[in-house]
Amino acid sequence: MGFFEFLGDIVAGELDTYVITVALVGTMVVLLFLSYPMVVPLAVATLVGLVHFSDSDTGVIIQQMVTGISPNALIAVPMFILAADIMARGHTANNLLGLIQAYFGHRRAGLPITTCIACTLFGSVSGSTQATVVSIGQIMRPKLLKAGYKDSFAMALIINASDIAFLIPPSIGMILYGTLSNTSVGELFIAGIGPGIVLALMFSVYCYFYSVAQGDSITLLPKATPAERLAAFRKALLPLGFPLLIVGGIYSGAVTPTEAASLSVLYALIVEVFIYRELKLADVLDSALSTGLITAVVFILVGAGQAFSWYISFEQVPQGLLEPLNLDGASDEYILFVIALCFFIGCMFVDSLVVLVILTPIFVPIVEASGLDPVLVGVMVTLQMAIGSATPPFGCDIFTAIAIFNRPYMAVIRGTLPFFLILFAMTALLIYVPGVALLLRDLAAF
Amino acid sequence: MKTLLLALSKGTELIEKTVVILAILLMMLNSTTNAIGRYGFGKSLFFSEELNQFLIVAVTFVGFAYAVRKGRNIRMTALYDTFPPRVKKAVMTLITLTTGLLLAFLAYESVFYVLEIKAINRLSPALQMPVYLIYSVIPVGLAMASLQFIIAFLMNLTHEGIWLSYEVEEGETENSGV
Repeated sequence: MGFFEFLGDIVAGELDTYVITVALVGTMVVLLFLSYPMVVPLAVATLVGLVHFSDSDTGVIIQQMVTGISPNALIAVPMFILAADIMARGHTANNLLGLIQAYFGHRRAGLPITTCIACTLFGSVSGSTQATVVSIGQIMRPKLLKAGYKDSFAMALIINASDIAFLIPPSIGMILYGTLSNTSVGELFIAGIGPGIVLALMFSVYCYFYSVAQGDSITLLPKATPAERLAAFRKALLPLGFPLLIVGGIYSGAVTPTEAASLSVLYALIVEVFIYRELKLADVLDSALSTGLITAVVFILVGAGQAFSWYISFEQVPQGLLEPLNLDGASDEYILFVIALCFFIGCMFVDSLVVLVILTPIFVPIVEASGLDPVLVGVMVTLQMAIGSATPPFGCDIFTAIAIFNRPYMAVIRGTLPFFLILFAMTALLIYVPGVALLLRDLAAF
Repeated sequence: MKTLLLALSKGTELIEKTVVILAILLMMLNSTTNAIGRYGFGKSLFFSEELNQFLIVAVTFVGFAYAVRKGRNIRMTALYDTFPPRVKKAVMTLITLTTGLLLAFLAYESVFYVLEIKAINRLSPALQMPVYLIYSVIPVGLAMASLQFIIAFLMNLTHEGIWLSYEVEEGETENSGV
């Protein structure tokens, strides 16, 4: 088929999978690159589909937006954001860091390893990678620089270690994936722990070798005394209640993720307002407003994404598109690889949330047909979103780092390559050894 | 015309903030009470899920208007950042106008959605509340967001600089995401 013929089909509104796809994707890409607010490309693409191709009523778009934000599991998103926001205003991050530094600070690569573990632990308090970049990064970067580590290494470490927060429960990406694909959020949470820990280990090993290679230019911290260690431990006791509450509660099957989310808000309030007395009522109101703002920005996208995905499944676009990929009867590894690749490429260019909202409905039918474990797919998707948010060109963690460290783009991304390779290795590991994620899930009380 | 829009904008800011804060706090209260009730006393609130759903709708649509006012939309500015200032201004003028119009259209559509629900007199299952009352925040929120973009469009037309909203000039916001 010639180019002009194809163009003619688009103009004529031919109801063909490829014609629709090219027209809608083209619309979205142009609007995205013009830097329209992300909700616009989704809404306009849906409208173009409804009006131009399907000649249907446009009112359905509002109805689908409401449907998209109605699932009860989504309540966990604002609740975890609120808990993290309250924690970030208080002492939590500092106390967690103090604990790990007391035990690892004096060893070779002690500070970078402290950063890795602290990001993992903080990830179990907050569900967002950016909150982790801000909270841990602001404290650790000056320390790393003072000890003699290169700035490019320090920033790359902070950005990539913060990725771990995405895999460690609570994870906002997992809640959204679970809602969009009808997968148990609790199981996703538990399945994220294994890969999160393995990733932290691999980063720590790299930090160790890096530190050895740097040799004497790096100063080590003095070893903490037992008394100092005990003090650090006592200070960290309260923040450590968080992972216990969330992971323990969900793992034992006692609480649902939504309940864990609301209990963690209560816990955060008690710790920061009543015990540490760090927060006043005005701070809590501030937290509520900023939580509402972030929630709205996310959920309006989830709503618009639901409208878009409703439209493409109405016209059976996913089925038509995936047919030539020949996924019927393909091996599980191959399907998982294709999914990972699509999410990875998408997340490199567009906000990972937008990718999630658009691609998940396309892949869900395949996952269902193939018999792949949807929880494994969810962990893989979350891992790719995490990688994407730390990977050039458009990773959002990179932009957060640029903003808070006040350094140019090229300086921030200079040291990211080794971490990137480790994340790649993690992806391969997840494809060939799914037990990394699924073992804990299978042992848990679901 | 412009003073009228600005007065409207000031008035709606208070509404937006109040609704968002109240909704989030209520959501917290509702969810925690429910969770405690279930573990401590073996009883759940019968209306808990329903109330949360209503609150989410309110936070999403009203909070969206507030986010627009604060210039906190997620945008991909990689290509845009390479444009010279004059092109940037032209693009932003176009974006604010067309986004404002799109949101006005969606607000208009949502009025019919709400009217339809009113016509069939849908009541919420647990609380027996008329659903249309709560869903009225949808057109209100979308209209307030639309208003912000239209004001930003007028600012771009009549003032120096590139305006994301009436309050926020480009370069003032931090890059925001999730």
